Amino acid sequence: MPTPNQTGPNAAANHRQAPDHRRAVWLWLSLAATAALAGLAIYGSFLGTFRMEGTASARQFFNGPVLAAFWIALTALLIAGILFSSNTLRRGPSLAMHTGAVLVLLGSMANSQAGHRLANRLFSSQKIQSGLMQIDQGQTSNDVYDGSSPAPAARLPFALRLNTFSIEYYDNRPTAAAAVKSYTSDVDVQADGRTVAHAAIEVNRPLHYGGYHFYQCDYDHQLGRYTILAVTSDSGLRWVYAGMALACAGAFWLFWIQPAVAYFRRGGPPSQEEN
Amino acid sequence: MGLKWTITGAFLYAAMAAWVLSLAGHAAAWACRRRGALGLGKILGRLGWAFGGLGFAILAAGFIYRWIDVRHLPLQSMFEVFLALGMLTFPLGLFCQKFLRAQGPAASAAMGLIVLVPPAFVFQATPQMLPPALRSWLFLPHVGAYLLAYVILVMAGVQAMGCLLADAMGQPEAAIRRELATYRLVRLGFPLLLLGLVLGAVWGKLAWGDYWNWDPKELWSLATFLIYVAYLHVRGLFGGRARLANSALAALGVAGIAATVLWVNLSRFFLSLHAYAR
Repeated sequence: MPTPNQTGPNAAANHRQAPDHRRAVWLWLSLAATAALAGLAIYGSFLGTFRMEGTASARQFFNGPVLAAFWIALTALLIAGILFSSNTLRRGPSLAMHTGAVLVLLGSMANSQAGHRLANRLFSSQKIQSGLMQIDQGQTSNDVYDGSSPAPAARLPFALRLNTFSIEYYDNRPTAAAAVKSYTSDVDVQADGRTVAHAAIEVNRPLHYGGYHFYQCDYDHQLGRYTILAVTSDSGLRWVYAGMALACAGAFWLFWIQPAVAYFRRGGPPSQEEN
Repeated sequence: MGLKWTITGAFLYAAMAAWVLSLAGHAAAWACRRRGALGLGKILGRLGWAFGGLGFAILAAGFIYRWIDVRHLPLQSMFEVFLALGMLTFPLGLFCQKFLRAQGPAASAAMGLIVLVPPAFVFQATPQMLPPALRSWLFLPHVGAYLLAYVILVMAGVQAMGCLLADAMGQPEAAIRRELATYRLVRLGFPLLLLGLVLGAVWGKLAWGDYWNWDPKELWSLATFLIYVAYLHVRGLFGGRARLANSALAALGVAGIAATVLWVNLSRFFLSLHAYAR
């Protein structure tokens, strides 16, 4: 523990920082968590390759019960670090980065399958996490499929009408693989028998309505008569984005702005001894 | 292996020739300064800088030519990405030397040359149309942040390896200097690495419906990012005292970057959503 009556050149430094042995505990905890997550990420990158299912098996693995315990432990460790470790971590930029990480983790929990099941039970709501919609041109539908059965897995409280589906090609220099420029589904959102919104859904331009994002996903390859839209819930998304923004702000503040301010105060580059 | 008999290829080889001369100039200047011939050393050093700048100007012209030729931002294929990485080594090396005192001119020239070898002799330069998923305003910011971060962090890794080498050769002063240079470079590169990851998440949400898709490339970038998170924790908590651990982590980061950029994209082994970047 820092001793308040200590004098000499190191006294100020000792007041600011926790003693070595306490810092060592937090160092090892943070390193263990970082190494565990890095190891899991590398393990996960191989999952799809051996089972030939693409990223679906990795998604399943990271959403499983064992990993759920890991995510909760990681979040708890970050919160404990913010509350109980050194004062350095509670100072502006460091706090921003670690709080950002907590927000991303909590938001992702809210956005997960398990998070939706929990929220539906708690608030007796009926929100789905993700699914697919197939709509014929000129038809209206609110059925969402999960890909496992021919019957719809859920029904949205509003419906989408597909006005037109169109494909635009690059007119000049078409190459075999990438000749398509864009896929567009022109849709109306209908609730209580009237149209409440209209959108042209393209790749990179989803529709956001009623707590869901709708993406251009696939289409009728033979006749171009129907479109397939991917539906994803937006639960927790604001927290995730806020956390990312906070973490970025903290990182640029600590590692760019503060050294730049020091540079201009000093009037030149740092000496070989300074940080 | 094969030479590129195209205009882009001509720009590329001319820039490499200029950088060979730049490296030779800086090496000769260093040798002169060691032998006490300071005047000649200064002239040779300036010559090295001039050829470095010339190589950069040629590469920049080649990049603009490629942009016009393929009609989209040329950061799609591995060829184009490495062309841009090579181009960035010169201005970033200059910046880090001038403002951080953390990078030598010869190291920048050598790095630029090494980065240009794969596009010059290995990668295919066939122009491709942009698939719909890549038509987004996030294309430049996402890829650009990563390119800048990778160049800076590889420079940090080179300094870290220099630190380990200096320690092994019993030169603690040089090791301390290089450890500090490593830290300054990681500080510069880390926020860009985080920004690239975050912009990728935002783009993933827009294009694929999810901000995180458990894609091999995503997972390897996360692992690489976490190596630098570990570095900053050790450096932040123990400063320059943990020199060996700091340098080992910064060097390991280069391995992570190499795996993310080369292995995940080039091997047929990973089924990646980022496959268009082959």
